[in-house]
Amino acid sequence: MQWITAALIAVLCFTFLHFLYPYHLYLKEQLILFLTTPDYFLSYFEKPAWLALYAGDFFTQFFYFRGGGPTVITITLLVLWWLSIQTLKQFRVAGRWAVVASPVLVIPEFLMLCGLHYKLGSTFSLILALAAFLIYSRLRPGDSRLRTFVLLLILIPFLYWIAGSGVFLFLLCVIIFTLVQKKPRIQHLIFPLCLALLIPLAAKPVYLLPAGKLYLYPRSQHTTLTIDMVWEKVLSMDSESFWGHWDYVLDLADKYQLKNPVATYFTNLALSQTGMMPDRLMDYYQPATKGLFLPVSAESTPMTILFSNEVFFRLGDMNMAQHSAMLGMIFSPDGRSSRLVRRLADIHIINGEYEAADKYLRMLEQTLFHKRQASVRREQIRTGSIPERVNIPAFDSIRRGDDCIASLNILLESNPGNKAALDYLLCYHLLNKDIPSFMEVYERWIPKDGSRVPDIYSQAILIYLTQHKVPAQAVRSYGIPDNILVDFMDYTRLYQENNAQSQPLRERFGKSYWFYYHFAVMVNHENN
Amino acid sequence: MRIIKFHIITLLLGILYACGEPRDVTASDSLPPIFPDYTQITIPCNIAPLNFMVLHNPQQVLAVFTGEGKTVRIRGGQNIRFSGKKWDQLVNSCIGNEHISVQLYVKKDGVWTCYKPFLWTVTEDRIDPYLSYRLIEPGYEVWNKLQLCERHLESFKVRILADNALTENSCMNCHTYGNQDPGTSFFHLRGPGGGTILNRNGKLRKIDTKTEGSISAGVYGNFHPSGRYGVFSTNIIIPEFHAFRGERLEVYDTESDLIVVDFDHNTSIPFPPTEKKELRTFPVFSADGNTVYYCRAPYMSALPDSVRYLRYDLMSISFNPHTGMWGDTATIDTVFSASRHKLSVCHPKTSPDGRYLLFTVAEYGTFPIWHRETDLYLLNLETGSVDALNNVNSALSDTYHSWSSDSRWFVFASKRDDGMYGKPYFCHIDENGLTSKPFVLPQKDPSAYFTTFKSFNIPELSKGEVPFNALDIEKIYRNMNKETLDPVK
Repeated sequence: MQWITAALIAVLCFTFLHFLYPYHLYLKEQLILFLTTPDYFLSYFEKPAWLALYAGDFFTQFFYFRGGGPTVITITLLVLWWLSIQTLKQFRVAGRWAVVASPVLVIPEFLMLCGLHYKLGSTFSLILALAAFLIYSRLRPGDSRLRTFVLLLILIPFLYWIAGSGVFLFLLCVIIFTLVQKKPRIQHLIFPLCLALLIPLAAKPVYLLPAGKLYLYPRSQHTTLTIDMVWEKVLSMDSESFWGHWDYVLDLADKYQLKNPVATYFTNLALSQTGMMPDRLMDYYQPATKGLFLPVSAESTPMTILFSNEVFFRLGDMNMAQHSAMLGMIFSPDGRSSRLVRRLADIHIINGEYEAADKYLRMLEQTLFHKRQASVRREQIRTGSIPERVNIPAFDSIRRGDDCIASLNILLESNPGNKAALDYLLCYHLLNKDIPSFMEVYERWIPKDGSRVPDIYSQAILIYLTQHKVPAQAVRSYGIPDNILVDFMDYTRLYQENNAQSQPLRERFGKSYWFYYHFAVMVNHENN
Repeated sequence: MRIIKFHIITLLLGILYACGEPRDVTASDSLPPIFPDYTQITIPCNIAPLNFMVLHNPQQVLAVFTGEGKTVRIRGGQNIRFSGKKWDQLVNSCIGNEHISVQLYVKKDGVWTCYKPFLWTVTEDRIDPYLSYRLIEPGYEVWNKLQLCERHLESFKVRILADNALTENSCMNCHTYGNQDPGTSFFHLRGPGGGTILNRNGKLRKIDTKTEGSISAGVYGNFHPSGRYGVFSTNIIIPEFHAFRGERLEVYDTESDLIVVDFDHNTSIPFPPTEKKELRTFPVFSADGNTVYYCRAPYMSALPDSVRYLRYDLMSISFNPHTGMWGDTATIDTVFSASRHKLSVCHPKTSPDGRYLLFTVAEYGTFPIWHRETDLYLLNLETGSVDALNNVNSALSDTYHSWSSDSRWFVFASKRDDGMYGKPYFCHIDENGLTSKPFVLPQKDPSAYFTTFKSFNIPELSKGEVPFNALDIEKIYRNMNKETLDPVK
């Protein structure tokens, strides 16, 4: 019965994580950097729970592989479940009741592991706590007061050292174990309670953590008990963007149709990388310019900071990409992330700063699974084949960290052929409803050579020309397709006939720039 | 029995071989590829072991260190790490400008190579045994984890003086000593419970150095030799970003001025008014305490566009330590006109013996740590000559320097290894003002610099341990009220 239940839960757990929730697990691996160096190992001793965290991070590395994360988590939860059953036996709970009670730890752990901020090491800390309790209970200390005290005196500090807050699960088990004895001794309750409460405080000078964290570590204050399927969709777009699978990102965007700025950020990036930005921009939810660049400020979340370098990297602004990647690293849970180390290595290689790139490549070479990436990049340096270098700024200028327009102008002036940067600049003005700035950029950078004018740009140009009452002769010089001209006349007529109501226009023109221009409400939007 | 004999003989031969130098060695006339670069350096007799590693993945390494009548052999896979005892014996045999010769044999692809030997000169000039620095990622506007640390230079022990995990993640600036005395120091702690944390003989105070009419709270500062006064800049600091590769951050002041703070009377004395509006920053007292050196640039309204023309000269003004008042503006003097050479001066630091002024020179601006061209210059205050310290500087940023208490050593942060992460380098200066090649702070694991994401910011030497720790700073942050200053009109 127990094993059937366990097998069923394991299959469900693996299936869910593998097929419905893989991108959270990929990102978890990207948020750590596990090195095989002695110095790295020793760094775990700076905080409590060194063994739980070291083991947790070691196994989190395997999330790199498809199926790796689900396998590791399923096995970990099975071990936790088995230890729970053994612990319940010590409380004289067995059979059907044990089956009912055993998921008390496993289900919340599963839910917490579904969150990005919950480390596998936290589950390992519970496993260590239950294992320690089983050792304690097998030694039958209740028979001797001295043996009990000595055991607790050794086990509680030791457990806090290797498993952190897992010591409180151990304490709970000891208390229950004592209470279910025939003659519970009050000293056997008070002594471990006092010890477990005092040890973290006593360790404060060593670990330099505030009191709250001393009792929680390695658990994060941001732990949640929810499965966030929306965020899983966003993360799928993030991961596929990171791997450069742009067509698939657009497929995901079409499938999900998320109204989420981060999802839009990756959608727009994919549109730009596939050259479809000026045609399909309005096919997706556009929260003004917040879907073009993710803000990096004191109000940003660690995740948006993590993602924020992607657009600068793809457009060619390596200094801003480096700045964002460095901040992403600073705000990753342990201040070291394999994904960002890879990105920083790439940035410095593209910039030709090989000494800095070498530092990051050395780190990747000390990992189990990223060393192949490092050797690919070493080969790139050796051959000098770095095509991305064509887009980086060719001259210097100084700008604010959030001045995206300056960044895009620098890229364009450095390389007028940087179509992605041009589309971003034009779309930035369009999403800001800043038609004069759009026209200024358009007139400067896009020659009137008879090439096809993309739909969104055509629609914006018509707004400008209408506002400036430009004669029909001049309108023709822009080469706007006839179907757009016809649509514009229809749109204008319907708009006037319906007294500027959006509903009658939505079906036919809901994905036109005209509709956005008239009806999108700009909320809390600062210019740039 | 015969088999046992064979194994014993093989073992003995192996031991003998292991104790000697390898055979069939190819000689190389180049210096060995080691990290850190510890070739041809001068070291103090009280420094921790100079552990190093051989680059390019060797199979095996043998280092033979020969001092005065003392030879030490160390083998390693890639790293050469001393035991404390071996190191002490080796260094003690050579105190007094004697040399330790280092011969390195490296086995790679099955072939042993013997590199050109290099020397370590062991000077009697002991270095102050403690070094404080701030550990911070080289990010710019935003921080997360910050620590002020104190490293014992005679060993590898590190103590945390302040940790922002205990102070609500508040920013904290670097730690500054008066005369390298651990009983006289300050640092700025930001955040709601922050202030300038002043340590005078172990008594800690928290002071709000912002007064009515001052531009900001104190930023860059320095102690008067008496410990009674501090001189600070007050600045409005703007961080912006360069676009071109190799360049990173530009930080400049739109306004800046100087104040003297009297810690005994809690007063703030502003710089005397001048005819023209100026930018003044990086003040330090002279060794005798009668002068303040500082950097001055003409006020510029067109920043950041004109930032490449923002150049600071090194100036001085007299100071009366009896009254705590600035001298008259007529006593302002130009010490080094950097702008005439199209350069800009930052961070002047006077040597405790009063002979030298060490400062940073960049092409422009006030934030040399992110300027690759930044170099240290040494001004001899007795002769007025300026040494560009070619044997000390590198192609990348060298700045954030401070002196040892005997003026025989200085430490500075250099980004020479990777252009991104600052590390503390030590440089010896002899009685004739001659400097030697600097060496980086030794680490127990020589590869530690490769795996850290932290920069060592503004390293400062001190004669002893500072009398506080991170828990004291937490208490001050949470429980102590700020003292305020009265501005002196």
